[in-house]
Amino acid sequence: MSEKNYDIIVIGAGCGGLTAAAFAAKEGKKVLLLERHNSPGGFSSSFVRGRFEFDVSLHELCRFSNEAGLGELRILFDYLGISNKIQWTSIPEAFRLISRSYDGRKIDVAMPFGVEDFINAMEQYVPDSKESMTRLFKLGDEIEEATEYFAANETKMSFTELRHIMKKYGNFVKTAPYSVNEVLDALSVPKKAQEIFNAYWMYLGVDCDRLSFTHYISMVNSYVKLGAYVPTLRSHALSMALAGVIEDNNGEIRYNTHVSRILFTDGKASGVILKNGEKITCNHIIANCSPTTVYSKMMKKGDVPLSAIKRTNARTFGARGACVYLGLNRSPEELGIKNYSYFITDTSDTASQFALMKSIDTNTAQATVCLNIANPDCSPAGTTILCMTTLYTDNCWADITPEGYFEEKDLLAARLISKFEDATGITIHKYIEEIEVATPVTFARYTNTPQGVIYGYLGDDWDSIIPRFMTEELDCDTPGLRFCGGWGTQLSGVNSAVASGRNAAFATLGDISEERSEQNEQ
Amino acid sequence: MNNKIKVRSTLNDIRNFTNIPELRKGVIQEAPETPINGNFTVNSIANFLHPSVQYLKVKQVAEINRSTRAYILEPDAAHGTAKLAYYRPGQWISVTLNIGNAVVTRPYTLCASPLRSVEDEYMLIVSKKPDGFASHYIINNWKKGTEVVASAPMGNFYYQPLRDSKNVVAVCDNQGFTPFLSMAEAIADKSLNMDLTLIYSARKQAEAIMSQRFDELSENTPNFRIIYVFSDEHVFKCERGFVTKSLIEKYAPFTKYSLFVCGSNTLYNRLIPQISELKLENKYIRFGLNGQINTPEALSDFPQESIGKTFLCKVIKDGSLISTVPCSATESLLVALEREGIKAPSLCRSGECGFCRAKLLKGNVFIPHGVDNRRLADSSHGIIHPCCSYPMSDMTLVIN
Repeated sequence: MSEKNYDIIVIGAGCGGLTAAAFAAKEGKKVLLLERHNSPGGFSSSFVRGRFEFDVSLHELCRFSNEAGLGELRILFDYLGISNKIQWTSIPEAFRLISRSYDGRKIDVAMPFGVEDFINAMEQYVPDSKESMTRLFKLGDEIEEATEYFAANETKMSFTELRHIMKKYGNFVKTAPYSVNEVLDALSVPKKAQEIFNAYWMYLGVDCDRLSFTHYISMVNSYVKLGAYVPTLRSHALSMALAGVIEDNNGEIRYNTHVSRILFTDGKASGVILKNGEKITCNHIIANCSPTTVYSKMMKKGDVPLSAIKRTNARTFGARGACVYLGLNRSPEELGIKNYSYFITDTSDTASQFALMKSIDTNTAQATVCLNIANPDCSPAGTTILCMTTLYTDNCWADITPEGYFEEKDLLAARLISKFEDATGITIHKYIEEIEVATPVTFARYTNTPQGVIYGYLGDDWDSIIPRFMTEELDCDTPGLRFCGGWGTQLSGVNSAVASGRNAAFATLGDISEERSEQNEQ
Repeated sequence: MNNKIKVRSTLNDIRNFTNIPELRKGVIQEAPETPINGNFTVNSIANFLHPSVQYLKVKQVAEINRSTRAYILEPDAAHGTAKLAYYRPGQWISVTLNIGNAVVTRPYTLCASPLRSVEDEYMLIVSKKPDGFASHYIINNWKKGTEVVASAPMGNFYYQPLRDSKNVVAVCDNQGFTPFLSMAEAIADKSLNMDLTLIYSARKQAEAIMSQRFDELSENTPNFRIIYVFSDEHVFKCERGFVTKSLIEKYAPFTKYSLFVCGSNTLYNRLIPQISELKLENKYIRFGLNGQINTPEALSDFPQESIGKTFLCKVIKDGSLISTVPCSATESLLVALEREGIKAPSLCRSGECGFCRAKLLKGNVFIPHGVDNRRLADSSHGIIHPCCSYPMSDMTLVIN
């Protein structure tokens, strides 16, 4: 086979890699996307069991809207020309939270989308919360403006610039160093309202004592303001659409292709070697896989910069995931399921819940989605799709023996199902027509993510989205190699992965034009 | 509202903001310089349970009858498989065979109890089919020491305690007894907790493969029993005729039960109308892997005008045209590719697993209604499963 040279090789066709390759191909670069699995999308995928098609991971997209040009993700898809190629389903409400309050009382609240409706519903559940909640959402808008400014401008933190930033985005500056709970306390949000407001924390997997306020408020603000969406034909439709952009722009995608090594020439990434020994050369690499995997398994020791070693050793893995996918042989009405999204936890104290998630036996927390509530035609008449997701905050699945694994899967499913039944009073176990269980082992199998982690590196206080952005260039210490996806700067989730793919593509395009002007100067 | 918010104090808040980069740099600075730990224990379990390939060796061959052999396979450590992957009774492996110029795969059920895989043994039972290809090759060629390349255990035809009734009534013929043999063995050694009543349908007693072993298991295992139904002869203590609704009801428990069916298309065709009269909920009826459809023209929805026609299929892999393959309307695309010696991915050959997933750039195929298990977005993007797609025109296909 003749040796080909590509401008950019993208390793991994998760949402980040697909987006990076799509942007680079659209900019006319010669792009090759390499994927281990036989299908694009990574976690953004689906599978069929009997008469049901289950989404692997997607609960709901934010920063998206029915209207062109509204929302970061919508703008990005508009640019790629796929917004109208994908059929969308809108999510009817924010969430139902079933948990236990600090005073021991049961929490069972259903929160709507729309800022006003959300605040009014909160006022009903927690009297005297309206004023502080209003302030909170206003602050959310200010932070949105500020983050747009920071995304568009490189800041040097000079004195004059800081003065400008303080004047214009003072509240952003003053809240950015803090956790969700620190800021909610400072805004005097009543404790019971905090418990409800914090419900989305499971989407980020960091407890609200450490979770970046800026990150959290911008996500919640987008959900509540713009609502949420999913591709009607499951997230696989999104992955196929992104793959289509690459192919339509003369990019190449190879599936069933395992990259075993990244090659370096004179300290700069210069190609890859595949598992079958084939060598492919390129000028730049974008890796949609964990830096830990890349540095420990795909690079020669001498090629890994010391700073990368220290940074990787400093970080902690984020949450591991597990899912129970249920095809039920009754309609949601017959079962009594009324909500799309259920957050069911043992305690509304997120740090305590985080601790309970360290072990398999004590973890029954779940974010459960009933797709039929948003999309009644997603399964045959008289049936229901219910997907339960839980997180593990430690490496507890590493202790499983192969012979005990299948039983452990069934136990996990039984635990989550009975928790759902207890919390909601809805019987589902009698109506299971199809069931599939995915554990951290499953996710490790299909995506090669280390330890079955689904949330990349833990967004700990020192390593949350703000510090990552402010020191982003330091993380690019391996010339010719950039990262995207859930292990990148923006943390995990489809929204973040897609945005990080765009950023990695543009940063690489910048690298390419810089190199070109350097060559011209010579 | 600007400047109203204070978290600690205005001055501290600003200092803490400007300090954010230093804080992160500081944590990284203090981190050890030790080599990055790439030993991911969960991934090791995943690789062990679902290896991308298993290198096996035939350890022993036993003649079951004139056209049936049992093969004991062991791991081939020299090629990199140290331990066999564990499985659920009812699962199968796909073996890759190089027959002449062709590279083909075939799924075979793991027939022993999974506990025997812990002792480094898999068992496959292979019967020569009258017009078979791979089965003849295996029986004629596999002997002690033969190297076999296989997939990880796969498949969804197993007892699932949260879905199925603990009481399972199963129906099979001699093309579908293997999953139930594995289940019965696992019930006997207590690695599987279920009650299984197996109704084995055959023409004559002598044709019921592995009946001796089934009888032993039935005699000695409280939670397993076997009932034979022979169409062509009377046998003491056995039923005469075919499997019917009333026969199933005769042996089914009074409580709820699940019905598992695995066997030939003849068995399915005869049984499906009977099953619908049982008025069981969908969730209590499960079918084993269909297997390759070799005579699609027999299906009612097959476009009759295409019978006898052949077409040309351009095959693209890794961006280049690798071959132009003649293909017949009544043969799956996968078989056409394999005959030309193209190494096309495949595992289940029944339209179920999706491993053969390929993109049809140009042309049309016929996909039998019951085996179209493609994902919605795949169907709308021209993706097909060549193992159950039949050519209806010249075409261009991108394979992985």
